[in-house]
Amino acid sequence: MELANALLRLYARSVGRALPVRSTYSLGPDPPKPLLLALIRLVGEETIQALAWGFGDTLLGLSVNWNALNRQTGHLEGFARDLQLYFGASLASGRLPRIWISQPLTLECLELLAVRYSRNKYTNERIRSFARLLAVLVHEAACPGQQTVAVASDLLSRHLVTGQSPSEESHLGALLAWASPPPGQDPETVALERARRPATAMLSRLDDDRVEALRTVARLNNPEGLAARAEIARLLESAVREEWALLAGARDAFWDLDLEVSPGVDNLAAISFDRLMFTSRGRWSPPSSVHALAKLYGEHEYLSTLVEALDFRYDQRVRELARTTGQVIRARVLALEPPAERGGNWRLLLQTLQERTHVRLGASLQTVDWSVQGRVVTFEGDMRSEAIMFQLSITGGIRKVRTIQVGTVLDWTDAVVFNNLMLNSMIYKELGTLRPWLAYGKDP
Amino acid sequence: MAFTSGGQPSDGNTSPWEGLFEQVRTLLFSDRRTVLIDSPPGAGKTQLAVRLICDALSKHGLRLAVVTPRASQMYDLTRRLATALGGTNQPIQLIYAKGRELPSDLRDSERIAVRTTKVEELLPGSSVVVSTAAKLLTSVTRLAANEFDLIICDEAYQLMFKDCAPLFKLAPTFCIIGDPGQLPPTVRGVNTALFQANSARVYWSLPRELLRRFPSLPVLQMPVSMRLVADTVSLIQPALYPMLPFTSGTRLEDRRIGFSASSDGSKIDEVLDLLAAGASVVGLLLPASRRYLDEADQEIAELGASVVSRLVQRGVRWEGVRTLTPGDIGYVDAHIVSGAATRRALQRLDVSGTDVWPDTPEVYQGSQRPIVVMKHPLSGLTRLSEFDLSPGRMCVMLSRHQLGCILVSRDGVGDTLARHRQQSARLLATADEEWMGWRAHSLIWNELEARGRLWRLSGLSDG
Repeated sequence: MELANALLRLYARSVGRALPVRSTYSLGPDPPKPLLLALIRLVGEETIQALAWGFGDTLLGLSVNWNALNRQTGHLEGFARDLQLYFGASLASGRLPRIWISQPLTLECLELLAVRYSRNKYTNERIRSFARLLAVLVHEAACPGQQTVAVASDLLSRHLVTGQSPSEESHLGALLAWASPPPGQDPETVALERARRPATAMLSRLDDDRVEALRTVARLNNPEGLAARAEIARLLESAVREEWALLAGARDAFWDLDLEVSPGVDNLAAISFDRLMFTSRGRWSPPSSVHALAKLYGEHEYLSTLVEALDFRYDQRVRELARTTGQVIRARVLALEPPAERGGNWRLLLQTLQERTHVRLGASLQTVDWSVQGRVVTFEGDMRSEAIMFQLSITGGIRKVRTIQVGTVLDWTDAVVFNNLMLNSMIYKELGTLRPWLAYGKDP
Repeated sequence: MAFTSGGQPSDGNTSPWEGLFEQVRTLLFSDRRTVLIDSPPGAGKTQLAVRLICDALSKHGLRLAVVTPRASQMYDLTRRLATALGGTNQPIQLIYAKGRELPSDLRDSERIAVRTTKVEELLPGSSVVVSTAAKLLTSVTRLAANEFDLIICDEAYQLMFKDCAPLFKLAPTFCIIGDPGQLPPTVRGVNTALFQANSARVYWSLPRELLRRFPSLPVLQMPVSMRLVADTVSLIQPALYPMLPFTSGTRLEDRRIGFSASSDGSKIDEVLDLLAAGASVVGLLLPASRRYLDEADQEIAELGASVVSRLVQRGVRWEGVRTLTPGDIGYVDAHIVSGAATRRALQRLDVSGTDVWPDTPEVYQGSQRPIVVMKHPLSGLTRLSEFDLSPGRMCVMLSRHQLGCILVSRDGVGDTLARHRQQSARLLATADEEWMGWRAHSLIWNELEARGRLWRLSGLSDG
């Protein structure tokens, strides 16, 4: 754990509440009707026993499966219908859909359904197309900066720190105890109490034991069996309602942080929307060939850099924290030199007193407002002043450079290569067409 | 022409890889097969590449490209090519990213026929095109299939498979040269777990993924390190290169350390004298401590700085060669923050100049220094992560020195390694880097202990 993070946690503990570590939201505002999905899975499995879904704060549907180990899909039909309608309507109206889930494990459950049913001839077409849509959602959720799938525990952890350790924070109930503490109660005590339940999206130990005991009886086609099924359903329904309330509470707590929305999320939302329009069309399946995987890797690489650059540009708290790790470098302009010869580059001599820096010879840096870009051509430490001096050969933003005064202090970070997505796509499309032997052949 | 380990042409004709060179020539130029060449540190990879290029141009009239991971490596290779092809009229063409300024010697060199940012401006016919892999990748759609007869990838273990796969259209044959023990390609912000279980490991290094897919590809091994002395080789080869047997090509009498000033009786000086007596890797340990929360251990930083200071004060010499300057001493530290602490400590000890610049293995990779001081990557840790245990990181740190390496650390590394229980999950059929790192670290630490190379101080004042 970084020292700054540890100190923040200590401070949060001393003041008895979570502290924001960002000054802007990394997620754009919810559409008028975001979809919320809460579920209960089998302990130790990714199999869904119960689900509850709805729009905003309104619970729309709830279904349970008393025998989660069978392959029946009846309990999924209602959610499948509503999810497909919601996505179809959102995309058709040019609006990005948003689905809230409580934690990453939910995605694993959805992924299992996607794998199991997207080509399963023993189920109906509604479930197959639902499974294909789930594959799209799981794929989308993995993309850096995506704006479609909101994972409550991840979002809260990225926006605030609590007085707990990071591993304790992975329990959504415990995390919420710090994010929106019940009035008059100590968050630490509440968090510990909530963490007694093994994790979210599962039955409590007692209920789980009871359901397991009832399952044998529930298989019988007699009054005892029917009563057992009813009791299982009641226990699951109660649990999934609690899970729904927890998710709704997490969503409220998130928006109650009352941060500004980063202007950068519009850009990310547009990328998310375009991607969804592509992947939700026809019979898209997750990348598996060399060129598709390489293209996807390139996209993730680009997007993670873009998300970072947007954060550094628009979020002051993130920028300050990044300075403590050296990802952002605050440097004073010592000199500005015009090109030594025709066609040459302007040079900017900078000095930083920052202890940690990621400045390296040959690295491409840009100002955090993206107005100037340059490549590090000299790099030298001065033992006496403890400063690092580095010279940039300016490769972008010449007009802006000419207006920079000596003595100006600027924040710099790693440069983002713009238009990378289009180039990335062209390169790997050609690879997929030409299929050279070393990339696609088999060992003789 | 033969070359010495320093990259300079020599009059001798005793290259330790002459036989291997012939094998590579046969595979590439007669059999037209793609070949992988694994090399230990300092074995002369780039020299081998230069000789192959000279041969391909002068004897076979080929059109070839050579790619490197970084621009600095491209510049170095171009300089060596310019020297090696000095008396010929074989064109060297340099293609580089827009906005990049070439070093003045390359900008002015008459040996370079074309310097361009556009592939359309390349001359046709027999010649060598030098580029970074990234530049060739971004230009690949504007180049014809089989534009080249042969592509040589230097330092290929630093190149990702996904960055090279599109280049496969450009030539029928590839020669892929690299050091399998070094750090893998840098992953920037991508969750590689998403790609682990797929049919292609696109984020793996080029040679590693090619070998996974084509186990029958010919792999040749460079047998001798011309940088590392036998003592170091006996330490790192079993631990970090279990699949690549190699020896040292250096002579003990050529790699001796001496001091102008005698010892002051301190433990630091005793350890330095151990180097002069022929031990190439030695360690100075401070007692285990839990005082430091962050990676910056102030006492270790001061110990490291004191070692550098004593080396300078005692006038360390490469016997028979020259007196070493601060610029000949490298300082490698896996963490930026503790490197910064060492910089401050060096300043307090008034080490002159700016040449002893503590930096990370990622930066030191590919370079060498007569003497290296390193902070042990597991120093002071009670729990070990995959990052800490990375075998590539340790390998880079322990293989930069030509004469001697002094590691500074907290004591207790051996106990921590013995207590370590692997936490990270991994998918079946994937490489277990953490285990490989644990094994390598354990072997090295135990061997240093067994050879009596770890000197324990009771505190900083004891140094």
